[in-house]
Amino acid sequence: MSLESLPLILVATPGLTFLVLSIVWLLGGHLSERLVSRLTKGVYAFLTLLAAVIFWRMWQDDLHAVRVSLGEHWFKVAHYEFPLTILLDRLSLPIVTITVILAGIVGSFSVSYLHRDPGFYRFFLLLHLFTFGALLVFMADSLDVLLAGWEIVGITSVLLISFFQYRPDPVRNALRVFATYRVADLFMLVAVFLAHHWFNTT
Amino acid sequence: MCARRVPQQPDPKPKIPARPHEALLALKELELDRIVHPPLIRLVGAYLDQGIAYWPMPLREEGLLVASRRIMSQPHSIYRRHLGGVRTEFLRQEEKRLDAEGVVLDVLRRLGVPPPDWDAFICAELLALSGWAGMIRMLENDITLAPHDRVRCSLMEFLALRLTYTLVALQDIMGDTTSWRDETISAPPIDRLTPVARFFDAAQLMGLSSLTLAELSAESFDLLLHELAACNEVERRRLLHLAYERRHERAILIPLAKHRALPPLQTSSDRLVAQVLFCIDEREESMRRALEEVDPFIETVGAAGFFGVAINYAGLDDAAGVSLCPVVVQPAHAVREVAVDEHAHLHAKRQSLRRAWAKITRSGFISSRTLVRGWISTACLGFFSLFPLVLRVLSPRGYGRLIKRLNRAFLPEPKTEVTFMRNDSESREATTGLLSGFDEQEMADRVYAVLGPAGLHKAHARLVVILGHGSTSLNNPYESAYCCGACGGRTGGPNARIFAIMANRPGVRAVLRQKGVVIPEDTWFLGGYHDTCSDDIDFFDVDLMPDSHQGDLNRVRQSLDKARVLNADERVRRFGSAGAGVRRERALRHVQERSEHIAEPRPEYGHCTNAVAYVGRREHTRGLFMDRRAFLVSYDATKDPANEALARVLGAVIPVCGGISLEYYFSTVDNEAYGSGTKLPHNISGLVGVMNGFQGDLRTGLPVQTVELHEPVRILFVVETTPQRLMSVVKANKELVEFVCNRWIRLATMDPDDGHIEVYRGNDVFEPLSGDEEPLPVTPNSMTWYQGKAEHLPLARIEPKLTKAA
Repeated sequence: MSLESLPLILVATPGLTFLVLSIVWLLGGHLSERLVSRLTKGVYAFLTLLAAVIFWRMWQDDLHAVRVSLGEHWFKVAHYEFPLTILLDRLSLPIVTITVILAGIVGSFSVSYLHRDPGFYRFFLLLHLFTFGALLVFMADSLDVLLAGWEIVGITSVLLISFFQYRPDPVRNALRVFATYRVADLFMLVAVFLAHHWFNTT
Repeated sequence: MCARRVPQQPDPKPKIPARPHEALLALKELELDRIVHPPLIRLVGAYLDQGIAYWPMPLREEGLLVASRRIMSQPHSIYRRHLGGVRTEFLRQEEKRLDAEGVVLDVLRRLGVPPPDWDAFICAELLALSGWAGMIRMLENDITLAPHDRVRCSLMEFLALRLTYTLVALQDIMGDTTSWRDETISAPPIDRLTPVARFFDAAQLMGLSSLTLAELSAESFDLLLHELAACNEVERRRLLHLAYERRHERAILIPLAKHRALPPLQTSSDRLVAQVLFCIDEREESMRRALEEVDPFIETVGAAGFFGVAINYAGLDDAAGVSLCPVVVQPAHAVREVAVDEHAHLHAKRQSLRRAWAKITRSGFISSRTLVRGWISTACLGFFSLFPLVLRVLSPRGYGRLIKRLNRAFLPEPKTEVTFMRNDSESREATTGLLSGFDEQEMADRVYAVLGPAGLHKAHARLVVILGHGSTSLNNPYESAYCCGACGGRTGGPNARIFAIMANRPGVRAVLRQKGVVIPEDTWFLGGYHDTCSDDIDFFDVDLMPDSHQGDLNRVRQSLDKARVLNADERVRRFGSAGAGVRRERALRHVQERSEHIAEPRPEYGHCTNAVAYVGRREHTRGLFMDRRAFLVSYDATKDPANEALARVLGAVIPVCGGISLEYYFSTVDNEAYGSGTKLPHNISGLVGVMNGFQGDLRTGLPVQTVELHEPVRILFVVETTPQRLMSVVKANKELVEFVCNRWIRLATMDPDDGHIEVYRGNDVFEPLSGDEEPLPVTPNSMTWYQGKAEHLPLARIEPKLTKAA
């Protein structure tokens, strides 16, 4: 398998897992705790392995960065255009590896911690989405992809803060965090626009 | 017809607000508690902190009220919205030198609460934050409950503080402090059709047609209405609950009587291989059954797990002594574990190593939470904490073994002994009021108190093992709920150890002989410890045992090893996360992993299955599968004509078992109010309690994870004696009268001679048990009976001969 496809698989796996789990949920289906925990453990074991393989291949080929392009011209207005690319280099790879390991530990911990909790399924749904967002942030090669990942991480953490949704306090706190994020993200969005506009940076 | 004849109910009258919170909620949709509680919780939390805070609350020696007053009235303080007046108010109180009572009276006057309403008002205000108020109250009664920082607590000061904040906030919001009482709270209107519908349902159930109803005289109709009103929601629940308990009662008592009527399973008249004394704990029921199934020549005996030795005990590594006895008992004797003389140097080394390590972990704990050091340590060392974390979560048992191996390699373990001989000069100098150790007569009394009612005196085996118990788990603020109830929620190992040493003393045996308890020369007592979570078993002072008993010990050890595998296997059927494939040796590994797992909210199920307490001879319950649901107390009525032993046994057992039963009962029936809800979001606050989030009320009772299997019935005591003898014992003890006559427990007697059962129905009335509808199934062994089932199981008789025949 070519080295270029590996980072793509790395970032897409948690995203696809989230997608599958949420479709099952939306269709009224339900997976057993055992199945969800096996799936989660499997996904994170796979991701950790994948990160190790990428590290090994990059080491072997003495590569400093792997850039995967998903569309050079996906956004084009007049003479502006931004590519959609993800990038793994010697800075982002260690961070990605730690993210994957930590999320795997969180998943493994929660399998027994949340046993029989009504929110079991929801938690793992959010965990996969969180990992997807975080990987997107760390592997983004353009500010736009970074922003997309950032927003996913933001909304997931708000939903995780309000995990015990039947108690008023967590929901109230989550709302407060959400409001704070909105204000803060607005400035980030403006910064990205300005970077595009003034410096034509991607 | 119903609609025509059932009179309309008047709308409920508007209510007068019980406290300002209710008035403001109705008037301005503002929650006063949400304004008052945060600063209150912070102050009380800081005041009760047991050494977690980096910067302890100053002025704690002045009491909660004065300390809070001086701290909160510092110049340039910042106050939350609506609480700006706190400073002036506190300064005014300081100036007038008002004490707590003075403040409460002052605020009551200014809030316009008339004296007849004081009780209700104060009660409502305190209940709004019942966890913290209750904690203050408990510590006010007994400050030694605080593990470390023993500060003076006073509920009155807490109330004064609370009322001051309430007053200030009310003044700020309403502009005055008395008008809240003029507000009325309208109750939600009753749907006009509800009473009619209820009447209709009742009439239908009784089979009354509309014609009959129409013909009823006004008088009879009123009677009917009255009857319906009397059978209100509470009464209906009471009746349903009684019916539920009656079903449980019959499912226990009828098979128990049948089992007793059958010939006893233990036929051997040879001398037993060993006797093992367990705690009466219902979790030991399965262990005892398994042990007897493994080796029929071992007899098990049940006695309250402090084994009569009420002590204040400090282990080798403990900073201070703790009481190892039921909470209703005040220990009068202090016992210390010390290193033996020749190992004193090892102890010194162990202590200095432990101190050094404690310093490192403590400074690590603090520095990771401060601004600059926290930043540095996170950036530099944070990464390395990944490795232990990964190991801990992925392989809890591996991590536990690693830590144990490291401890063994670096931490010397000196041989220890317990200082339990009376030291008179030390006792006189003691400032604690505790006698140091026991003298020979006291020791003999304690040994007699256990061996007497247990009926062990008829035939002592060569080896008598005393197994105390406790429970080890990680990341679990409720650990003490899983430990030995008869040791005040601590571990009973030291008690077993001391009991065994006492019973081995020739002097003690001489005194016992005078009392009629003859212990053969070749009988040896050995103390041990059973961990009900990991099912590990350890023995104490094996090196003191004569070599001649080594063979007996080996046999008992092997049997116990087999029994704990069976016990783990039986426990695992209840754990949903274990899965059906976890059996036998893997089951033992599974329960060991639970006790080492930092992410396990249910290390074990504790007393979750308690429902029955049997006080009587073991031979009548031997071979009876009781599903870990019965406390088993050994008591021989035929050896106790004066009921002295019965009084002693019931005096300890009813409060302990009854207390446990009620704790589980209330935590189950209303988990949010009496229990502590789900334990997942709990935070430990200052080592005194748990709360949800970072500023909530302290939670009381048991979490939902602990009680989820519990069947909420009052515990059913079956005492092997006659009703007359039982009631004479109960009537002589005030506490037992409360438990029995106020019906907090259910009670039945089993006649020591013919085994007929009589059930207590209140007001000194006993009703003979009749009926035969509950079967007593027979099974070759426990495992066949429970295999593949997760629910509560009915009693069954275990007859191993069945397999031989088959």
